[in-house]
Amino acid sequence: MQSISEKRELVVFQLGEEELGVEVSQVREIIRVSHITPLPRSPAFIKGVANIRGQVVTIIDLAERLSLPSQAKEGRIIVMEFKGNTVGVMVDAVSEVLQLPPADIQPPTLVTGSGIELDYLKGIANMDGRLIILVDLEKVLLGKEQERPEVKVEGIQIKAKDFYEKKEPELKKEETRVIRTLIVDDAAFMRMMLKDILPSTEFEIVGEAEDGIQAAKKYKELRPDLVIMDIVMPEVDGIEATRSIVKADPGAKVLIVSAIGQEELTKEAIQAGARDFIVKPFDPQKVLGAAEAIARG
Amino acid sequence: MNKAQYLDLFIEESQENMEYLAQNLLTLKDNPEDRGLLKDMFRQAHTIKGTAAMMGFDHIVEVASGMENALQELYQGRAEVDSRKVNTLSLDLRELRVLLEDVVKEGQ
Repeated sequence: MQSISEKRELVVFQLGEEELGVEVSQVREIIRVSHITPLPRSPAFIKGVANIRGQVVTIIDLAERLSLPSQAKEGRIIVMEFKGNTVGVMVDAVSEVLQLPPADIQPPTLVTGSGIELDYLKGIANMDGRLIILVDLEKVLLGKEQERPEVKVEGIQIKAKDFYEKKEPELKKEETRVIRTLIVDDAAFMRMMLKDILPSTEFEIVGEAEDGIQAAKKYKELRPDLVIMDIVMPEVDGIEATRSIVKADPGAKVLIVSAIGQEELTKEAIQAGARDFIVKPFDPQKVLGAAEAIARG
Repeated sequence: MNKAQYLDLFIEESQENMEYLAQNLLTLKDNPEDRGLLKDMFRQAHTIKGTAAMMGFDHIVEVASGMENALQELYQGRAEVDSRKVNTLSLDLRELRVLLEDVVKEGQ
């Protein structure tokens, strides 16, 4: 086991309602992977492999391994270096990546002292009252699947809270930075409606485009946090525009908003690199939710 | 969402797209192989359908959707342009104009 006197990089993330952390050598990136190729005869927690920037990366379903109720299993993936290997770990949302001073980590004996004996548990990090369950990634990767503990994490959290005098974790602070947004639709009607849906306290509409050529050009000029993109447009359509934008900037966040009846095109747009799609006629709350999730995720 | 505030813009853009469709239908009679023209017409019908759907004008959605599907088949080469299809598209367009006129009257 790694000595707790070493300084480590800690990535903190959500799985279901739990906040967990794993110590790694380096967090490479946090991305959304649209295609994972399953590996036959591998344990259930090995979701498969994905091609990430030309490198084949094994994708770990941590929720499956730890018997946690994850709500967004196809959500984000943290690509991390761990003991000379690169792995991708599926999570619901990433809280932060930080260098954790060793003194902040309570070793696992404190936890086992509370009656919990779990192979994968490395300790509890107490960060100003936030209790983060540290997972031993080495055990997760090397341990046999049948050794998976049956204890649900709900139980862990209750006992961990007892140990720490029932200190409630602080609520995460809301991110306040406005989301710079580019709206792309050939219909002024749709652009107006989308602008009205996105509250100015959260979204700044930095530009509008009426076709795919303008969209790619404006993306390059404005570098927005989010693009809301129609598919059927003159000149260059939304699929080609998405492909072009994502090729130039793999971190680009594109939300497709396309009319019902063109679902095949929507699938193509996702393959071209769009993060999500909404079908017109849409519920404004769905557009708002998807825009926030993509931009903040 | 208060849809009334979008009504004028919906009417304006729909009238514009119907005008383009009418002009393109005339051109199509002499240029039945023009895929670019058919794709433009598909897009115009698609836009009418999408915006009408947002406004909840189901009859317009229904007719525009029929035109969109027919034009998609034509521009993708899955069907050939002939006088019967052009006539059907003309009748659909006429119906769309009547339905839009109803919307204009109701909005006044």
